[in-house]
Amino acid sequence: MTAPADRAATDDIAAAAVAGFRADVDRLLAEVARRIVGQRDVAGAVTSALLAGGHVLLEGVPGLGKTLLVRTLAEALDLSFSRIQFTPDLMPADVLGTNLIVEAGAPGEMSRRFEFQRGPIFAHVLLADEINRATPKTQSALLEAMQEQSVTVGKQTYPLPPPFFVLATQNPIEMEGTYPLPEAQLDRFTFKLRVEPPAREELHGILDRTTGSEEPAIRPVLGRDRLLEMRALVRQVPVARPVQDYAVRLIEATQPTRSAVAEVKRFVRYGSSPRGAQAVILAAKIEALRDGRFAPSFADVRRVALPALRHRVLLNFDGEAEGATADVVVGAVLAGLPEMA
Amino acid sequence: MPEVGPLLALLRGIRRRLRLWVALEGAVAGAAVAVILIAAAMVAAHAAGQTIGVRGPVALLTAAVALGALIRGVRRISLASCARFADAALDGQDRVLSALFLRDQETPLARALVIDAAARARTLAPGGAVAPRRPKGLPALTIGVIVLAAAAIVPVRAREARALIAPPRAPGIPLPTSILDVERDEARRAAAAAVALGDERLAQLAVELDGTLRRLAAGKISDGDALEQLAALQRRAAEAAQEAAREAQALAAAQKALAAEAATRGASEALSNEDGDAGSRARAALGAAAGENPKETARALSAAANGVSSALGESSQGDRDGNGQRRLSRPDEKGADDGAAGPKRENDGERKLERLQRDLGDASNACSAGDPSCRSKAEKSGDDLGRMAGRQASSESLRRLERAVRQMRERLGRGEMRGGDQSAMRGFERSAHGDNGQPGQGKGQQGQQGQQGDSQQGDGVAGGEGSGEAIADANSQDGKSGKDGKGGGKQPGKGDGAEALGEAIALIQEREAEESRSTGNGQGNGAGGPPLGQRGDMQSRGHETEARVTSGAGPNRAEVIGGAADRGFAQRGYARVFSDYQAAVEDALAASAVPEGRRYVVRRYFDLIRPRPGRTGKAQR
Repeated sequence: MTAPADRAATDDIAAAAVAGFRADVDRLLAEVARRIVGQRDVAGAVTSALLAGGHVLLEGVPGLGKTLLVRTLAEALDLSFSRIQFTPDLMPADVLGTNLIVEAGAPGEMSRRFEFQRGPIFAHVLLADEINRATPKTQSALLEAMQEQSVTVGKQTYPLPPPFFVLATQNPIEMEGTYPLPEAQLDRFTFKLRVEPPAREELHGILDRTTGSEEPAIRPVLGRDRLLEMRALVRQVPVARPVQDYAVRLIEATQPTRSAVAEVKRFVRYGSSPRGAQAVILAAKIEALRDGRFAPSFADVRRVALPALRHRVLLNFDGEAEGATADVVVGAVLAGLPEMA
Repeated sequence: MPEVGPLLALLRGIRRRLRLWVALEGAVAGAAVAVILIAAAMVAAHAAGQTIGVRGPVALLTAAVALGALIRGVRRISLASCARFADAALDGQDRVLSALFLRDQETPLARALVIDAAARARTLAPGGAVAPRRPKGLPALTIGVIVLAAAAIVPVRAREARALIAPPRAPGIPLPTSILDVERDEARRAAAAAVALGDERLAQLAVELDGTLRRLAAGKISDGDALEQLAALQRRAAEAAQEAAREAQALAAAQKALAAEAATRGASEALSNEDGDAGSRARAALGAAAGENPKETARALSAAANGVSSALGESSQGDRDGNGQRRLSRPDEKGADDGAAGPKRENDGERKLERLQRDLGDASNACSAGDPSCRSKAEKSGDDLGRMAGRQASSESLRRLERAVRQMRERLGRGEMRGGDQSAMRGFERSAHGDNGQPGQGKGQQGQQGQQGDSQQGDGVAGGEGSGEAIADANSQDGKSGKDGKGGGKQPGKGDGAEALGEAIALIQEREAEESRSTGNGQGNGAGGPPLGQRGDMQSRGHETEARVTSGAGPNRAEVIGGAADRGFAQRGYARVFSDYQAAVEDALAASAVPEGRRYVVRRYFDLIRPRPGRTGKAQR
């Protein structure tokens, strides 16, 4: 039994932790905003996915600052950063690393042994640029790393240093010579974000900052340890059963066999997996903490539903032929689903 | 957790407030339903010419309000629902709801959540969370009140109700003479048939009908009295027609029996003649047969007696059943029924047939025994059978008279004779004449009636009767009837009912005299309608027809693509081209040029446009 005084102190600590979380996220986004003009929603969502321990798939045409955003985020968090440009001839070993024969010992007594040379995946923040240009074999090399936070080469498994965060990009226009991501890999991304072209004022800001003589330098505002603390705090946020039930019903409503939404029945081939529900709840918790609250609300669930579910809803032929998008379907689900059952 | 107490107190306060409002909504909804029901009841009562009191509606309204409030008020309201109201009144972030569900968790963040929610809830009162709102049933209640007010102000009365309560008119109001012309013609026609057939029953009925019509036209009896008299007349006419039918059945049996023996075959043939002289011929034939061949005559008469007996038995059984059904189906005519008249008539008819059967049997016995009275008795039987043969022709006239009386009762009951619907009266006239919608068939009627002239022709369908011909007929009739009219009623009667027949003759002559006075004064001068078969100059207009359509956006792309392969749309050339391309498609899909993720779409597309077999299941090639 905890004494009232201790309990009050604990309560104060909890409140302070939530306030600190909010302040740190604000500082991080402010630092990112020093270099990235606009894209506040994208930066916020990427930060949320990072705090949730997930990964992000960014979709947008070239030149919108996707790579810069990830690099800036890594700098602001003082994390190691790697970039892999995916091409059709990229091999899994190019991503994961490989065993090389290494000679060691005195001359005349040289011995040879295999030594694992780590690939670029061994970083805290990995930018998989144009991931859909690599073959499915190479793409699947990321699967274990994204889910298990480890890499297996031969019979040896190498853990990746936490936090491990993959941010993949893909170009929605050029389909020639691309390999769309398998559903299994898509499901491992917490969010799929669409990067929209900047507005006119934002474009002015981009030009002002990038065509001048000085480029703003990014200072590290959060360290790796603090980031892990924040991740742990996210996991402690409680969720009221009605809110969680809303998320569960939301996932069910995307599945054509269980949904009552007409758009889902007509256009959807497969709905979201349970990973979608995990992504929604975690992201909703982060939304609550970023707002200084102790528990997520229905509005938080609604806010994160679209980026968390749009890549998990697969359209059928009718949907493709009608030009329907997953965004439309998820929007219809959100519009038709009551918050309380 | 101590902070939970104020939070729960707030939620309970909100629940009380919510219960109050939903009970109010239930009361309003109940009141709306009650008001609408009361309005409907009021309309129905007004339509029936009645009024409803105040106590019933007030009781219904009170009960409905109480019931509505009770039903809605006792429904369970969860604290979660109350928490939603509280959150909506705060910042909409579900703090109270989350605190309510997480109040039992001992984690730091859960406790912080409850503390935060309780602190915010202290600033909120139940009244602030549940603001006054307009009950949902208020529009329905408003509409109901408006309908009720309209129903109370504007009484509605149905046509049936008007027909029921309108007729009490003061007796003694005369009717226009022409309004009863159709019925009087029927009476005269029946009288003429009675005179021709020597049927005193028909004559009696015709005279009584004419008397009723006269009294009604002169205003000497009320409509109600006339209805009663007509009901009695109708019943008697129906019974007389039934009796005539029974006699016809017995006569047919007797005829058949007489025709079976060579000696009496002549009598049977004599009974078949409908010239009114059947009695004397049958008498002579049977007398001759009895004189020449008494044995065969005895057998024939015996068989005839048996035939009459069997007809009597069948008809008696049928009468008993029919009378029972008639009494069951006409309870309203009980007052107009003169009680024993029906059975008495039936017994009269049966007695006549029994007497005939007995006479035939006596004659047969006499002839069989070689009694000298054989011939006279056979002649009497021939006489009786002959009279019966004459009466069977009156069956149709009796039915016609019964129908005319029934239709007049209906007209009078609907009030059509006193300024009622003229078109309905004309329709009745047409149906009474039997020329409904058949041009040319009423030509003879036009000529005889004269006074109906043009208007009657106008109602016909492309009637082509010439009015000149009608006038000529009427005038020629005029000359005769004027001459004969003075002699009415002076012809000598014979036997029973001679007085009725005499009155019938007087009725015929009087009616003809009336017609002759009313015609010849320009009636029928109008031009007739276009001859039958010629095109009229009636303006015709086309009529608009509403076409039913189904609104919608039309087929979607998937349906268009899919429809391209349907049988009937896809021609042979299409199928040939598709099969040429199919191999190339498979090659392309197997190649790496098509992204993996898109192969499904491409394959599905080609699956959809593959020519499909028709409904018969036969593939199109």
